[in-house]
Amino acid sequence: MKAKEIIKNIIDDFDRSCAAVTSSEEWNEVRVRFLGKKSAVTALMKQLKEASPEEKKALGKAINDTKAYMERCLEEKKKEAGRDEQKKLPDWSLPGRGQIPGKVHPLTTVRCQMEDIFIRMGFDIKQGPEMETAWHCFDALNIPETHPSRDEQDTFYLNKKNMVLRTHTSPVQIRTMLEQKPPIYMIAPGRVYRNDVLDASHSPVFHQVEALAVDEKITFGDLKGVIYAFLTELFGPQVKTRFDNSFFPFTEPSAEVYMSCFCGGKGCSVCKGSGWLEIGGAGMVDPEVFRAVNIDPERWSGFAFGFGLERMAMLMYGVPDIRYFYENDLRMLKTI
Amino acid sequence: MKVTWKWLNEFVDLKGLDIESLEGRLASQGLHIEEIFRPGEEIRDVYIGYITKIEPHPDADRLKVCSVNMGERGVLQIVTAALNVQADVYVPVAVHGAVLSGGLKIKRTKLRGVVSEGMFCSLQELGLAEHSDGICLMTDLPEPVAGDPAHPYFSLDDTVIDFEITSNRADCLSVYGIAREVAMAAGRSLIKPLIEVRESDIPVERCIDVELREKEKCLRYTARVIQGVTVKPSPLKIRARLGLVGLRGINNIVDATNYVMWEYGLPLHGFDRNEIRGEKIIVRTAGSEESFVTLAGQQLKLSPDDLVIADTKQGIALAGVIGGGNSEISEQTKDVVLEAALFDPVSIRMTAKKHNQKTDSSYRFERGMDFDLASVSSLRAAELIAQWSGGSVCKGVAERRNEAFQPHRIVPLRLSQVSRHLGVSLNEEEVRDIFARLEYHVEKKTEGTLLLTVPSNRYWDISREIDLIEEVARFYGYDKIPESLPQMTMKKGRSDKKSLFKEKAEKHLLSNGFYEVYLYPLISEELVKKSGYEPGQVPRVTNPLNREMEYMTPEPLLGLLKAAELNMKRGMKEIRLYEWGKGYPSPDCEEEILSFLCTGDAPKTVFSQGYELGFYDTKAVFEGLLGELLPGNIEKRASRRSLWAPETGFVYLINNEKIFETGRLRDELTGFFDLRHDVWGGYGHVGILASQVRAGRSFVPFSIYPPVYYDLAFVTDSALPAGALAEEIISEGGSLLENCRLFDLYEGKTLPRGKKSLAFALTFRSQERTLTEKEIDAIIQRIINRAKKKFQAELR
Ligand SMILES: [Zn+2]
Repeated sequence: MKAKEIIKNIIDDFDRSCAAVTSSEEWNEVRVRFLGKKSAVTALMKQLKEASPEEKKALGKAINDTKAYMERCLEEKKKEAGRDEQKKLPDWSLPGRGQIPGKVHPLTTVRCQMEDIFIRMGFDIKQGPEMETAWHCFDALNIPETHPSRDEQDTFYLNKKNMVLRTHTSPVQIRTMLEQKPPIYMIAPGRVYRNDVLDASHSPVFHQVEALAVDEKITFGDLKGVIYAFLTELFGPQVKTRFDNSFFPFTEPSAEVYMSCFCGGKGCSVCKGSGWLEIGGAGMVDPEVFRAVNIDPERWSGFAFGFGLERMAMLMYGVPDIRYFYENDLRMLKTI
Repeated sequence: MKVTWKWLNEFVDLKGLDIESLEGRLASQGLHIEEIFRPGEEIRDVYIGYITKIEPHPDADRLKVCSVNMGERGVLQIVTAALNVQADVYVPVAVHGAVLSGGLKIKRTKLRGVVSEGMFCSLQELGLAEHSDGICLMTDLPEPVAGDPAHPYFSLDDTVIDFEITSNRADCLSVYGIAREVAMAAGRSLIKPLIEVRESDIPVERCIDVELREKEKCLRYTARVIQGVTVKPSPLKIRARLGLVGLRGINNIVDATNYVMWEYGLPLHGFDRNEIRGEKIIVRTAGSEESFVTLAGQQLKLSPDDLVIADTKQGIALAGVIGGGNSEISEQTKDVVLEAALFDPVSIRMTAKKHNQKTDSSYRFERGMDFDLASVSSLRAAELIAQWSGGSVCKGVAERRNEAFQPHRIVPLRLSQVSRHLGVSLNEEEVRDIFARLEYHVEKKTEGTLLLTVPSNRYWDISREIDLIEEVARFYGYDKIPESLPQMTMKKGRSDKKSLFKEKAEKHLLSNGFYEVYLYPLISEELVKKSGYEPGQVPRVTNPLNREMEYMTPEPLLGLLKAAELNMKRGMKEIRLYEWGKGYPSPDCEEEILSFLCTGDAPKTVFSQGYELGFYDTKAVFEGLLGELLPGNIEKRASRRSLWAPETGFVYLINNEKIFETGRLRDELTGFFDLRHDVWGGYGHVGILASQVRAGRSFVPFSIYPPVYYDLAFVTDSALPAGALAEEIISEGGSLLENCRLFDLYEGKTLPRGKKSLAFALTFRSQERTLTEKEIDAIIQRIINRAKKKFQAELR
């Protein structure tokens, strides 16, 4: 077949194909077919090598014209096809496609945030049993049967001798100190139990995050510093702390820890007008506790403190009732 | 511990101050105020009235019509049902518009047709008593003025402050003790009021003898005698003050002992001397079979651990806990023996606990009372009894004590330890100053060490150097101690397999739309049984909050059912939940369990059809979980647990150890929770799973040559699992088959009954070259032949 005829056939074929294009996919197919490496035009180019010089010139021009023609047509067609595609723009108001992922519970979120800060400070995470011996839960923590502070624990007793549901995460301190020599820097997040009324701010089952540091030169100033560093990291640099004297059998001196309310001290319903939020107990490890775990209180000193996880989460998210955390209403779990 | 502002002012002059201005300082000292209450702000428009005339009600026998002179406020007509109403007495009258305790509003009204312009008040309506025993007749006041506001007569113009006292601060269980802290906070001095008792010539020894047999359990016992008392109600002002702090007026003798207990802290006890046989008080332990009847009429069986106060015949009080019915003060009492004693805290605590007799008295003694208080308390009570009952106080005190007991401890304090614990250096002068203000005797032992004599009121609380350091911190001010950070040494960091597993597992749960829940691990006996456990084997709480929370759950999955039920009831339709919980199948076992379930419907959306949540949604999770484990010896068996509906439960094991179970929850369980949809779920043993978690996988080389795609659809028996056919395809496809994906499963009209169509999309690719059609055609033919031979599967 003569080259001219071939070119004519190509152009006829191209015109038909080009006219039929309705989408950018089809447009692309046509482009590849007529201008790509395997196209008829490319094949013709190869023939050029064998042609005579005059033929080469004439055919070369014809091929180039053809290519230019096709490119022009495709350019036109592209605009047209683009116009068609505009009609198929996505509906932005529709949701994205795919399974909507679930969420972790808000108490987990807060716990992880707290753990994260402490881990960065150099604390390890420790755990212990919830069904605990009275010795670990009380006696070793200087809360003997003979002292009234034992009653204030609101303990749930188990039907096994000397076993209780732990009333705080402090027995994990005891277990850790028995297991490992100082220096110790640990936190113990965990579930605890109190035989207490169930109301908007009390739950018989709740969580604490306990911290313990035992080293050669730990001071009350360190206790204040670590709590301050922790709270400002969690709630922001505007937070102020206040430490009031208090009593816990396992710390001496002991303190009640407060942080400034989000109202900036003006007083609001969250802080009941005081400007301060009670968030936990703290103190220097009592020498009796060290003695119970064979750590020499003349060489080592330490601090311990414990915060309520639910309390933290309530403050963080503005949850008004502790019971909501245990109802697990999906509407809350999805929102927070 | 409730005190009133005026009462505090009897011990420290607080002129120009109010309690709010001291609150912060007191809190930092360790005295937290729970509530400040001004009764005068609640109770309004109550005035003193004088009943001049009482007439019967024309239409009601129970009612009386009274004329009441209200002074400048005129004469009011008041209809009352009070039984103790009488003429010619002053009474508190709530007039029209008045507000009483608890917000009760009084209005002019008609009672059976007769106008009543107000109401006579009882102490209860004024907030001064728990129960009403008739309207308050103001008979013992010298000169009430009709028309006066009632507030000052009833101490309603006072302020009640409720302090939270920690269990180490028994010294603050009194107005006097709190005044001491308030004085420190206010920078004012403590007043020690003069107590005046005119003693008679009759020596106390002639009336009573004391024998102290148990000097370890009773460190000091004192007795006074007041003769010729008249037992009657105590003065109205006293009853009002007792009412304000939450005490109940009983009679002038008991009120005097209670009043002094509140004032100084030490519980006192009054006996009717005429009921004490042998005119002798013996402090001894109980016999092994001794019984004792309390003044509340309860009979107790005592044992030799219990300390009793006895006469020569029998016990007359359970020492420091409760008095006996046999020697109680009554209206017939003429002579009173007044006990002021100090008992050992542990002995009192154990007795009170054993006999379940927690009283105001035992509460104080078990926290440790002040040895020195006995003298002043006894004197003060004698003063009040004489004043209120007209009795005369015998001369002197009958006293026995443990001579070896030294109520003033001497504790050394090394100044270096102050800075070691607090992180702040105080010089000797500063430390000395703090202790001097706290009434410690300070002496220098050696350079850097002080010897401190602890006041007797802190005997039980302060015995060690560290206790002294807390006192320093408390008064130096926690707020002044500068913040610092510990100087830590670096240590080895350790990774944790369990948290690695949890992280990986959670990824599968969350991406499949599951929400984490937190549950109480406490369940009812009924639910223990329903879960297939014996209640006798499951740990039980002996003092549960309620029956619903009596057992530790052996099966955390059940808690999820409850959460699902709640959400269903509240209208949620699509429920996928999981919990990192614990199972407690026996008292020695507490195991971390991951449970999850799904139930309800996934709704239809723009992109997908709706469907009922079930097996495939749980499979997405456990398949993901299993994929995170080390490959190899995981085995799957049918589960025999009754948790699952028949034939739906499966258990996965590694080395014969269960790691995981899944199935459809038995209808009986879902029905118990009122769940109407099928519930599919599962649980895994976190510990074992975590030990099997695989940290990562090896690189698998991938081909750079072009793929060849081929779709194949087979018609097979409906019963044939798709996976079985896929396995054959994969096996026959050999190394060139890169991927085999089931993309259509069809059962329907166009197929014969009992048949289904399975369509697979196959991807072929070689590691070394571009595949030819011929090669692929040959493989496809072998696959078709094999499917036909093995499963009689026909090409569709
Ligand atoms: Zn606030």
